Amino acid sequence: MEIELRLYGGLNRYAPNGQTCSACLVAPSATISVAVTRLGIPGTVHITVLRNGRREDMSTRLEPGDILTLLPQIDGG
Amino acid sequence: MYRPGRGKQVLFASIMNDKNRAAGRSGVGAVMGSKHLKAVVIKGKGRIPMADPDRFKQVNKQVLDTFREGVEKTPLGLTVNGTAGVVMATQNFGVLPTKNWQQGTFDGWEKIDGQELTRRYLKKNSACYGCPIGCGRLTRVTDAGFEGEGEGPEYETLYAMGSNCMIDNLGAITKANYICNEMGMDTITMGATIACAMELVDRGYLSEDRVGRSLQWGDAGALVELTRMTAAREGFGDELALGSFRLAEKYGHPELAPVSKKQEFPGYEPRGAQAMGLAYATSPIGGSHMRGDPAYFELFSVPQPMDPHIWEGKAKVTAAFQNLSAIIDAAGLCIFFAVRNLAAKDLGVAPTGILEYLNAATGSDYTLEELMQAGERIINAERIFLTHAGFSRKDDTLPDRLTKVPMPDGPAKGLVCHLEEMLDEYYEVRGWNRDGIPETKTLERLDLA
Repeated sequence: MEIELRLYGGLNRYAPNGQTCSACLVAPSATISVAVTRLGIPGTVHITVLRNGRREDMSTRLEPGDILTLLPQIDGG
Repeated sequence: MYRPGRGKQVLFASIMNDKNRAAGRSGVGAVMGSKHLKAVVIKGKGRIPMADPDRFKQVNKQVLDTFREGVEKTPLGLTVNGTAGVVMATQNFGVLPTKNWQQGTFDGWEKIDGQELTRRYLKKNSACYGCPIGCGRLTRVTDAGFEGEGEGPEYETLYAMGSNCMIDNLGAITKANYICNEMGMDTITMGATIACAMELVDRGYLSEDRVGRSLQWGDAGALVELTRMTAAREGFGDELALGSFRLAEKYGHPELAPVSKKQEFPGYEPRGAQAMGLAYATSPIGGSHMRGDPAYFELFSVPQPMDPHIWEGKAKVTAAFQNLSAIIDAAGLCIFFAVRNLAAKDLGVAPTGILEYLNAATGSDYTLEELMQAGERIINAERIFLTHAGFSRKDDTLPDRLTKVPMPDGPAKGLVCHLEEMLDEYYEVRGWNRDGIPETKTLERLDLA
């Protein structure tokens, strides 16, 4: 099934095509964890993962058309 | 230091320090201006004695070693893009205040984000004395009509003058930010007041004849010109100098002012970040994120994440962050470094690192409980002051726009801020009555009776 990947703040280097936003094919009912793991982001890199703008458990199953957003470590304001 | 905005007593004039740093909020600069106080200069050669310098150095080394170890694993966002990097987070969480707080996302956000600021205008990072983060931005703009050089803008300025005014012209925002620094004005209130004026015009409550120029959403030229006119209190700038609440009230629609206790909010939408609404409403100085900043646990996962859409259980954590902020302020530390590096890694955010520094510096033997209680005492002492000035639950408010009108867009679509429910819980956590007045037994426990 197809989902949309959005990788910001330099994380696009881990995108399959290097793009910030791209369509991505994952197995039906794949979890957030599966989709993120296959990007190969080192475990030491802090990221925030959002599914359709919400922080959810990594075991949550994705649905077709979901937007998976990855943000780098951010703070301040 | 004297700046013209203060001399003109713009109600949101700041006290400027080190050229581009500000005691920015609540109009403290206007108080100086009203007393004809131009500057405070501190000069001296004496050293501040330290009880145990070796222990202090040891604590400092340990803290910095841990900090640097973390930075090696993940580059610090604050160092890379400054606070401007927060635009990316608030947009994607759907809590970037847009169009005078009518929306939570802004189509032009990538044009005003920290990455764009770094790419287009950054000359170099700047840091306050001794800081290993260096979140400051020394920038230069060469865009025609907006030329200038200086510090910033910070995230709050990008929201207030950018998305909130529907302006995606980063050069214009940066220029208006320079003017605020040079003239000594609070960029949050300046941007929020212009956005409020834009909505007054949009709804037909204020005429462009009165403003003296066009004032439509997204008008970058108007932002810069009106900022300059406000500092000089020239033309319509004289009305903008009152801030959004008094401006909106003057034109019969105070409900359009994004304020608590008449002070404008920083850039986190409470409909999609519930605890921010509680923090704004209970901040003793009115809308502020510097008296306890729930964005840390609702958006930044520091020290641990909490779902920003849920209101239940937020009161206790918000109170803990407010107590921590009071201690950080009293210690003269920066919240950016202290929250991540000098507090416990759980939602109680006990100031463990600050305690180590404090005891080494003073030779005292404070316990963690005593230090945490000191933070709670500060919050309660401020609340007593407000109580004597007539403030109570009736003033711990948010505009109906945030508590009654569902968010129209983005990830927080359909949500409102559950302030009243959180306030009930919050007052109970604080030991205050249902009107928000500290109970006698609470004041006795804190030795404030």
